[in-house]
Amino acid sequence: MSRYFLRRLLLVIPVLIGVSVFTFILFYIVPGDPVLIMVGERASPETVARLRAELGLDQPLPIQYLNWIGKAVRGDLGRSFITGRSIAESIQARFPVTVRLSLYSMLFAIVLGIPAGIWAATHKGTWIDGVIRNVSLLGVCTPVIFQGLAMQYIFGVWLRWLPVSGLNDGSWRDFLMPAFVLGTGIAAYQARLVRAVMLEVLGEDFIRTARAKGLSERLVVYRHALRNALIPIVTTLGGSLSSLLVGSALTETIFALPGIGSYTLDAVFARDLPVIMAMFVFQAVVFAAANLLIDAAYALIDPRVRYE
Amino acid sequence: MSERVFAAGAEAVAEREYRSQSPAVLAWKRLRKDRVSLFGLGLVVLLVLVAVFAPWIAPYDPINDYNLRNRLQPPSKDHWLGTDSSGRDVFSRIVYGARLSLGVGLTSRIVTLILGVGLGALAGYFAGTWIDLLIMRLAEIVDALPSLFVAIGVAVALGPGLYTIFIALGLVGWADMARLIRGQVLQYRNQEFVEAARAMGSSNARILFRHILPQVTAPIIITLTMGVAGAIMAETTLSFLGLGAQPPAPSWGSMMNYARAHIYQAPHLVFAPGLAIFITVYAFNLLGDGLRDALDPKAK
Repeated sequence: MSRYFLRRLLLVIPVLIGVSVFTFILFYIVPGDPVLIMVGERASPETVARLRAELGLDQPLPIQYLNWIGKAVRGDLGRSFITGRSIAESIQARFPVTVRLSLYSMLFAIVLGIPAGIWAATHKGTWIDGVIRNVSLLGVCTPVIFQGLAMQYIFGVWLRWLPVSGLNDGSWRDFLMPAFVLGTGIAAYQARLVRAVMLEVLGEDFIRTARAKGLSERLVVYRHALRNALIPIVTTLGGSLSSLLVGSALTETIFALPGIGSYTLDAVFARDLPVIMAMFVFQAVVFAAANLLIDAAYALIDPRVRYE
Repeated sequence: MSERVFAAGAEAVAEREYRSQSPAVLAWKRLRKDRVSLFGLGLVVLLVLVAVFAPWIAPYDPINDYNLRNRLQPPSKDHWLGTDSSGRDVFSRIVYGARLSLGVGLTSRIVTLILGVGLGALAGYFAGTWIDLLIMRLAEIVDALPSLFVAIGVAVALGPGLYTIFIALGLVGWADMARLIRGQVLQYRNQEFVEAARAMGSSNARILFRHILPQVTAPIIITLTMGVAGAIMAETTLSFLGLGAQPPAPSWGSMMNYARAHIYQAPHLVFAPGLAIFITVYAFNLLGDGLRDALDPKAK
């Protein structure tokens, strides 16, 4: 089984190469010379040429790309064109914020979504089921922007219970609203999925056997049905976690949280090429790592799973 | 004895009637019974009508009819949803915004459809060959890229504007559809009717388009409908970030963006477009759910 994971790891490399090449090409099509942006229009041609040579921007494209790869593999992700700060440092400072946001959001998603889905499944056809299905549909359809801005207004401006935005004292209060916005979106989707999966599992023969054996309904649902329903649930949860980690750029922007999502977004707008390259590749790595972890989790949950 | 003959006859008639109806007709009959989906369909039709007949519905011109002395007014008799920061009528802008959102949603999905179905069908039909491998690796790379950023990147590279959005959104979504189509094509390509068609001398292209693809229309329609909802949400995000439809064009997303600055004085500026987006996405989701139930009754 560890050979399988090794092979998976190796397969990630061509994907990373593809990602970095694609990003490189994309941003070289972009109009706007980063050197000119940095020194301003009125700089002398010598300064421009010197800066260009310093940054290695006068080399042919493939050489530039190889330079970047060579440094990146050693951990030197370069410096931002705009601020000049080391990118690796910025990532170190900002990634924890995104991780915290992601974890809090997952907490909301799991606590709200999964019980709701189970409840809806076990009470199928009753008003509980109807309410949960409708509320979760509403949750899926609400755009993040709308929910975020609405909550900011209600809780930040009107009621003044929570800080409107920013990483103020770093306490949980700063993360409550953004995590809630992200979490409820995922929870809505999860509730529907959990409901569908549980219904399918509850219809299977072994559940009938368990009930015939006289097991309490609670045991049947939670010990037997839920366990078997876990795989698709864990898959989607894992997928959500991956997307969260890769940076909930929009939420971070709305709530002014300094995470890697807003970092990347700002860089894209500012055409800050080193940051963009580094972040896209970083996110591909995080994404791949998260997926690998999920697959490893499968092997733990379902003893039937054997990777060859 | 005659009863049994009579019953058998009635059954045969019923069966012939059932078989003579095309899958589309049967699906429509199933859809008709589901009240919730009909509501979704009705809502979607209403939205399309609003978008098409916008010039007749909107009382004011959404772009040019501005009055700086009448800014940020709350809803009133003259302006049903109030005015925005340049004194334009919000209701008219929302109505015209429907055109934009629906247009973007549909067009970008069509781009995705062409790419996804085209590449997916190729990959599935030639499964195992280098065509398949190439397309699937490409899909993996597209998947690994964070879709929002790619869309933003494309928009930045091509310059903000509506056509950029079509391309950006279309490019991002094709991987899922390609995989879906590939799976479906794989299922069908070894079946007998394909063999029969080949024996009759049909070329590969003909087999693909005339025989296999029609079987796959159901998942395509469903994915398309749900995809429109997703595309509209994505367009909202892009417009909110300032890419996409530029002001003063009435895009719901950019309306929300500009409303942020005035959220203290005029919160209705945020809620109106937000609600509009929500209703639209909700309608498409309901319709998509209903279509899924109607087109594939086995999947409950």
